Amino acid sequence: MTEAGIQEGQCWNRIGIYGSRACSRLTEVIHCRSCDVYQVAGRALFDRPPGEDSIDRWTEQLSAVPDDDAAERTPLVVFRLGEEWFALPAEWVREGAAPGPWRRVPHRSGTEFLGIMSVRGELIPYFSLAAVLGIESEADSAAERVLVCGGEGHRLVFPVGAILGLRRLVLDETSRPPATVGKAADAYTRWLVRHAVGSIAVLDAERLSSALEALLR
Amino acid sequence: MLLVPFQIGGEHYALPAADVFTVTQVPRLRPLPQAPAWVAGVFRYRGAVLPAVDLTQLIAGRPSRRLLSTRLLLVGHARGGEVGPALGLLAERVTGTETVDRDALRETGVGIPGAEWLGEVAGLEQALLQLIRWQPLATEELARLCAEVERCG
Repeated sequence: MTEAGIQEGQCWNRIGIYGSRACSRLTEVIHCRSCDVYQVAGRALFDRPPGEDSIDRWTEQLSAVPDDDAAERTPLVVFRLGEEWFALPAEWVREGAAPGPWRRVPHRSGTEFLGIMSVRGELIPYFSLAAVLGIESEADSAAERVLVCGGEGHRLVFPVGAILGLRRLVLDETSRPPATVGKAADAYTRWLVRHAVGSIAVLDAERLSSALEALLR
Repeated sequence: MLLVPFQIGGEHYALPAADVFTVTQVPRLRPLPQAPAWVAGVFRYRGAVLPAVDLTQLIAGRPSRRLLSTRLLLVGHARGGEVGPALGLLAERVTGTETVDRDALRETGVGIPGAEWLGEVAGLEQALLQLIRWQPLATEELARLCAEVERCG
């Protein structure tokens, strides 16, 4: 694991979890991320000068006067599938993670239910959200991020193209999508919201999770 | 008691987290003429003009280094719903929080005139940590200078 600002050949790459695993501390801390050598090196990443454009952005963000309108804002996790942006309620999303190893399940794996993925030791059903929504996505095979969703005991994980992050958006009656149903994606879309990145389709987490769980039965 | 620790010249200091509204990156600061050297400048925060006090300059006599770990801590009275932060404090190595037992805080017993902003001392595992009181730093003169900037734009 490498990161700008930290030279190659650090102990976690040589004798640690990403190297030969010969480090004597590993018996105690199990993984390098629990080791204080790794944590101190991580904090050292902040000892870099900020970029000029970053300073301009922070100045602008601090001086911005927050909207006084009392419109209720809903926290959403925004992510990209193929060319389109989607969002899921933040309380339903658990984490964005690097994909773990996964395998197909004989006689069950298909285009929608892909198999079982191990995310830090937890085995979670692995779905292709793009296939469920019926959209073209390059993400499935070469995904660099996966999104872990669902409550305790109902976890599911799917590959995404990119994660924009948490956004607080206004969802109201005017942002309801038109009733004409085209693609499957529209059936799961509860709101359409304009945003800087483009139009974001806010998905119905309840319908989606019951549809995905139905695939497992 | 939750603290926001920072370091100045290898020594540990901290602000009580209850006093801190936000920890932000350092924006562009507009220098304030006629102000003491430890006033790094003023900045706009949600429409208001707030002064930024450089704690490194105040304590060690040199300005804070411009690094990502140097942050601006917005402090003010947490009481009441409407009151916002009164002051920004520039400090180096703001990268975490620390919990200290309130009983572990000791008065230094040394009152230095002109340095009323130095507070109690607590012993950490490896170092001593001294609390900073922000209230003596928010002087009326500073508020007046800020009001002038706000009026003149």
